Amino acid sequence: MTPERFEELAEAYGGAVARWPQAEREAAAAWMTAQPEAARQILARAEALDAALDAWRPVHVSHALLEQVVAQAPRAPMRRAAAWIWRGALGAGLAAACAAGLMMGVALSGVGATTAETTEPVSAAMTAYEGLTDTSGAFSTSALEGQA
Amino acid sequence: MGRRVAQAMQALPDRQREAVALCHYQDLTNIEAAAVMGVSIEALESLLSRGRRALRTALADMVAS
Repeated sequence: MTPERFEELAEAYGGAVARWPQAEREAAAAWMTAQPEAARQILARAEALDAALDAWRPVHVSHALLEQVVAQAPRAPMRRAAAWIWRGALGAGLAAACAAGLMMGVALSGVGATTAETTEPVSAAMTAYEGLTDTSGAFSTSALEGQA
Repeated sequence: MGRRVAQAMQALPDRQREAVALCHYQDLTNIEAAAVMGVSIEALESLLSRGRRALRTALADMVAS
């Protein structure tokens, strides 16, 4: 761990070393012990930006709302043989992609920390979902219906 | 203040905004975020650095020195 690398990590990941790449935390901690003042200054600068970013919090969407949006999305015919594949594959990937889409949708709409009652997150989530649908129309969300 | 941050995030290039959103606001690890974005960890780190640098500039008066 060099001073330059320590600063790169702080610049990229922020002032909380616990959020740094796991593979580099031990070396970072050792450097902090060896150079406490230099480390403190670098981390303080990154933490100041973290605090400013925390002045805004995007809308948190529950898993239940994500499933509701998916269930209401436009349907397309799905081959029965592929249904079980989509049922499993879409779960975690869709949740992550929708979360990212929501983030960007909220950011683009300029909405601050609001309740989940606004329509922008739902619209953004549906927009994100539309990007995941097969353009050939071969797949649908019908296989997801009935899931808990 | 929140609206200023939202505007600063909106002004970022898409990929930088996505990287910051995933890592800072969604608490994804670098490995998880890189996988979601389909980039290498090195590329993710570059996006984060550039994004955070732009945010620091945009929010200079809000960021305590």
